[in-house]
Amino acid sequence: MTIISRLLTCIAAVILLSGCANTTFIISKDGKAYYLGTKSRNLHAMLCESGDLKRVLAEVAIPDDLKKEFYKYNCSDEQSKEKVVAIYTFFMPEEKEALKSAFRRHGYDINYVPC
Amino acid sequence: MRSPWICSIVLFAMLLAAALFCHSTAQASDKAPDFELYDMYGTRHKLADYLGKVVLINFWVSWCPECIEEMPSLNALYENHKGKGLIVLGVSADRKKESVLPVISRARISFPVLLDTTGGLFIRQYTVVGLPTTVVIDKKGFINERIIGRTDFGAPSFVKKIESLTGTRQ
Repeated sequence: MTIISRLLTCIAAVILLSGCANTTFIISKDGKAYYLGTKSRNLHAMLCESGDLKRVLAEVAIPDDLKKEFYKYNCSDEQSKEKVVAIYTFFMPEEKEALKSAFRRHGYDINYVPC
Repeated sequence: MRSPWICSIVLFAMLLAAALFCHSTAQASDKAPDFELYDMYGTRHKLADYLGKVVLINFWVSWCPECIEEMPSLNALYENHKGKGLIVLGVSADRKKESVLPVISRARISFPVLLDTTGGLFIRQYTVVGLPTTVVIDKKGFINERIIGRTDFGAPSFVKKIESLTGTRQ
């Protein structure tokens, strides 16, 4: 990312942090960005139908039940933005870092802005 | 070359939209989900047992600085109102008791701290989306307020609210 684009993201993050309490969890790849856990056909195709999320989770050392729930709330009919954020909030710092790195290895970037 | 630009502009727009549309506290009038957990000393706590009292559930984790910073004011609130119908339950997302005990000792926490090692409360029942989160439950077991972020529990407005809910306000 260029300096200006990073700056834009930082400005938005500062505005977000200064005025609210809703955590934002965004995933992006190849110029496309989505809120994780939302019911988007394109997000589902990119993350779930491609098998990418399964591959990412297979590489991360987090408890199996949390992996299953993370997959369920992203890829099943029970998709839920709030539940995905709640699972991520519950992860330990090393689990968050491992997940982020695994996503990066598969060409994704995740932006988590907690409030 | 256009791709990083488009991506960052989309990201900017999404973050901005979230900033404009979110709120610092979410009002909720749902029935508080019942649960049963054990504290650090092996005492069982079941939410239903506290019906008729005002319950504050404070969700935190040992590696969250904001969570630790609000502990003294929360503990003071508990000490001042524990005999007047207020129950405070800390719920930690830490996986190990060993991570929690030093915090309890350092912050001199006297209210019970429960361990939610599997995320039952954090994820499934209360869907905690930010840390710290405090859920205020009224005497009838309904969620009165959900507060996300560091809070001064000694602020006159908050104390007034608790006294109104417990019915101890003069």
